[in-house]
Amino acid sequence: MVTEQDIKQFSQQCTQIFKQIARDVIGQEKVVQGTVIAMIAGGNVLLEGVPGVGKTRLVRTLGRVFDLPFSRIQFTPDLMPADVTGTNIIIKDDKGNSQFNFQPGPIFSNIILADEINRATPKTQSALLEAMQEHTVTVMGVSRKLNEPFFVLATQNPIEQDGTYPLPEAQMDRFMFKLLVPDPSLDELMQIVSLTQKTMEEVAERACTGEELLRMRTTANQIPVAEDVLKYAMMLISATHPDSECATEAAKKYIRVGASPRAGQAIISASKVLALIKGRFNVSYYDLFEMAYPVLRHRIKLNFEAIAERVSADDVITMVLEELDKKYHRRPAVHAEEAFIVKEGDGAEETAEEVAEGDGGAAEETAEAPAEAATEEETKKKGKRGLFGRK
Amino acid sequence: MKQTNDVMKKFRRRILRGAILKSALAALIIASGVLLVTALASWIFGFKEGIWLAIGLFALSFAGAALLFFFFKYRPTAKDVASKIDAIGLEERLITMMELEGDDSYIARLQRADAKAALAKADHTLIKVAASVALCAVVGVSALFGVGALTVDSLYVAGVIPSAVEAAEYAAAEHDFNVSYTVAQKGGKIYYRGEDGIMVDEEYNKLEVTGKIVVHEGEDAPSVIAVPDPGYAFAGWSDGLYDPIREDKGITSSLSVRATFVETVSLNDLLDDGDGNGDHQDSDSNSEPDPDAPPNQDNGNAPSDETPSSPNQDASGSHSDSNKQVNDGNTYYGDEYGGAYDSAMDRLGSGSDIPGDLQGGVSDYMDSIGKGGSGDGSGGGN
Repeated sequence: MVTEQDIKQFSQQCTQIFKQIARDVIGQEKVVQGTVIAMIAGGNVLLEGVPGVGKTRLVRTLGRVFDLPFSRIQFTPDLMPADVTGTNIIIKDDKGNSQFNFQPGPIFSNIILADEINRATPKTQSALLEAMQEHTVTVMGVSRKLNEPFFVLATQNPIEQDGTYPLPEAQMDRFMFKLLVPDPSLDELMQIVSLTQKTMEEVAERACTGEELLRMRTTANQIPVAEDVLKYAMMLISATHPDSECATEAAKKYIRVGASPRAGQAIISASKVLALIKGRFNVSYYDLFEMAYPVLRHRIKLNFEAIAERVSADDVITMVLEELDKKYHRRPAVHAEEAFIVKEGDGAEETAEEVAEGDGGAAEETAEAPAEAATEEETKKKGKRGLFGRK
Repeated sequence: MKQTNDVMKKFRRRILRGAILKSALAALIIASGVLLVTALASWIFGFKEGIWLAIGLFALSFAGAALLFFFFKYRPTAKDVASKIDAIGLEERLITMMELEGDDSYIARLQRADAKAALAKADHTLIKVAASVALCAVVGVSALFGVGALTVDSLYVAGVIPSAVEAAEYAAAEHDFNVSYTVAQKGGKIYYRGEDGIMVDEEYNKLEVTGKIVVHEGEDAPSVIAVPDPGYAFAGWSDGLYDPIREDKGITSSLSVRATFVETVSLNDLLDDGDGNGDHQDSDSNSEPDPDAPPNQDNGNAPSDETPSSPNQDASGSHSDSNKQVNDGNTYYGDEYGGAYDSAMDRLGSGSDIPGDLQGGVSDYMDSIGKGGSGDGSGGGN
């Protein structure tokens, strides 16, 4: 059961998390927000970007901000599954008897940075499957539970494909989000260089603990989703299947394999977190549109025609969304900011007053409802494409 | 909840107006269809009172269809109202609030409060009272057809146009017209004319025109020729034509014309009675005047002392005597040859020949009646 304390904490902690991350990571708002949303929702993230854009720094910063143990595994072709999961070694006890003793691998941590994950062989990559989905590791028939919260933040380089092993669909599906890490803008580049010239030290501080993060997840899960919104989300997932009854023309033309049911779970979980971050206590269609790109882009398998026509996954998602929009008219006719007479920023306070009145003052403290101004502002800037759309 | 309903009232009113507008437009399509069918049926079957029936049915169907559309299609449910309000930027707050109705959990109360706060700040004018362009276009087209049919029916009722059935019957019917060529008085006959002259039957009898000739609309009447009896000359047709050969083409109405023949006087008689005082009177010269006679023809009964009224009458009035008129048998040359007559008489009196053009006319006439002629003026006399 969510309490007002949970809501208050969620708001405060979100603000702190973004504030602390911003101290070490310049720019990359979309990636930061996406990663934080995935972590709160309990999903793994695949970061794709060229070297040097701050992927590893972001993951390290997250570890510090959430005050969670952090392990980095550099994936290479000769990396073995045991190097990831750990292995049993024979030791002798006091009586001289030999017995197996499990030596945990780097995966026994809370935040795992799987750097250049596509460089390892499929065998090693698959060592992560169980950990990513069930949060357990099985070695020699013994399953061991991983620490909670547990996240895998993997990176891959989109340019250099020599000697890489593309991630199998099963593993791709276990990533809640695939976030594209763009090159920094000129201003961001100047800030990065200025900052790192002074010191390379990372200054982000703890914003919340692992337990608090789990509590935030529980709170976000309580956000209600209207039946129509849920149905639309599932329709969106189904619309990516070329053979489904909801299949869009774009899906029929460009998609070979559509998104799995995990995509449906992911888009709803992520939309709940996004709604709460925005200071709203329900999921909207707009949240779905925003979450559609990071949730779907790695889950849909494009066919030859799409590749030949150089149509990207994001292009196809845009086409699917537009087709659904034409059919069901779910994209808001007027964006939230245009509908309100009051100036931006007054909303949270006004809402809190209403809550206090309606609940006889019981919810007075929700005056600090988690309206993340920066996120709202960003949403406006991004327009229809949303926060996590293509660059 | 009451507070929410109060706040939603202004939104609901606008949504309701929109629904009424759409219902009315949809009903107008149905009513226009009814008007089109009824008005067209009235016009087609020539039911003059049908225009009032059409107008009445239009009104009834409009009212009925509007109610049906409103209650069964466009009347917004509470969920519809919530969805429409959400669409102006409330981000599904209201629809979620509706689903959480009765839920007393903290998050549900929080959501309700958030939704109410957002609703209170929303601009209700963003809900447009409008219909889609497609609906308006269909309404426009159907109304145009309906009004068009009503206009056609009105024109029929006003007697400007016939009913469709009448028009169809008229169009389908074959239109025959009677053509009659008759002789006004005695003095000649009218024969059918072929390419080689007067038509004859197997026994070489000339085919005379008797009774009425039936001609289909647009077709040509048979060619006829008016042939005077000996001692008579063709004076013209009652419709003002002077050519004894008639070829009435493209008949579009009944035609009835009479040929007029006048008695002629031989040149010998004229020479014998050169004073031109008109003692050679025809027995019918005092009969009733023929109304179809040529304007310069006095039918032989004009008084000799009457002041001349036509160009071929001389000052003494002697020319008004029909015996002194000159006809070549084909054409009445009274006007044309008024002067020529005197000239010819003078020449004949002085022993000279008749001029060549007059001789030619007399010769043609003789040919046409099959008697031949020398054209010397003596052959055509009686």
